[in-house]
Amino acid sequence: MLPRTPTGPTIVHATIEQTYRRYFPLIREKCARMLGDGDEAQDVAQETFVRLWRSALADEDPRRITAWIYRTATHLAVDLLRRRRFTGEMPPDPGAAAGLDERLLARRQLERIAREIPAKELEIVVLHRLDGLGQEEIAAVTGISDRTVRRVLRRFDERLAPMREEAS
Amino acid sequence: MRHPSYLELDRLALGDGEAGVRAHVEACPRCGAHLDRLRTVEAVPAWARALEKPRRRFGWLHALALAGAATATVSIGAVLVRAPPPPPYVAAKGMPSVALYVQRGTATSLWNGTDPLRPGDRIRLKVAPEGHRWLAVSQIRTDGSLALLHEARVAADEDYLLPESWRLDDAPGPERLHVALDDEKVDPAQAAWTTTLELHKEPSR
Repeated sequence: MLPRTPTGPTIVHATIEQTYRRYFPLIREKCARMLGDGDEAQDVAQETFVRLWRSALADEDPRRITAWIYRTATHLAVDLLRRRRFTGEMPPDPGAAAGLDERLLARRQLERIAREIPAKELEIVVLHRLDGLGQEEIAAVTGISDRTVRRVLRRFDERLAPMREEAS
Repeated sequence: MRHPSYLELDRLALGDGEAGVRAHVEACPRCGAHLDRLRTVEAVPAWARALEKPRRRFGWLHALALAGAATATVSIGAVLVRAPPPPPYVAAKGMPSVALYVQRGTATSLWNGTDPLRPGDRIRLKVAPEGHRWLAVSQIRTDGSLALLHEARVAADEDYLLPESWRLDDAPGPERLHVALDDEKVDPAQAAWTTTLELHKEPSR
């Protein structure tokens, strides 16, 4: 294994094959979490990968790359969610939804209100609810302060409350 | 049970995970299944392969350099030198990499990837093959064709310090080196892993 040092050249230009095999699976999984397994998820995954390759970030530190992927894929998915019309039915309250996939439930809730909340807030909620990121991780990925992240998530829970009542 | 975030799992899959996350995954079927999905090897689709050629980190710089070098006579003299042992260098884990050492006078340093070099500097490469067994280093001529400078069979799991170095001349324009790795001898331009080093030179004093 090669030693890591804070200095030195970074003349490592990965090929498309290496970059694809290394990063596309996690992009694909991330997009499927946000959008399901259909064509939309595939389109967003493809667009994210194209941007990654063109940014030449594939030669950089994996921590930076994963943060970039999460930011970019989430942004693209939220853009799509806000443009499409909600067609699903609101599932019952999570507490009553025994057996219903937790992620599917969260995704439906997000689809339902995607057009009602600002895109930036929706991105934070997606990272929290679908990717399981904690507040500090979200702050690190998005560059938004911990405090703002906390506020957005609290507001989102408040928005969900009437939906839960309506569903029950 | 509190699961790690998918970001933590993804970083673990890339070799950058924390011990606590690793321990969790070993005991958790759900998180283990996620990592298994990430390890699924897929063939690279045509749309991704089509991206390879247009990629340029400094596209405009390349264009300027090529224009400036159009009439230049590029020559790199192959001169053996005894360079001191090189320092460690940075590489993405598991990926091939190339380190370039510059000898200026009696001092040898690791090139930082951007600083211009000087005519008279001697350069020497060290390559981490990361599983590949054949190496070719070529000079990229101004018309884009490759002139082979060094070719060798290498140990797949050991860094390879080239036995020779090259002295930069004072011809205008950058020097461009093409490094190729594969499992066996192939056309360097078609090798499984390739990279280009573009070495800009300060004008002669």
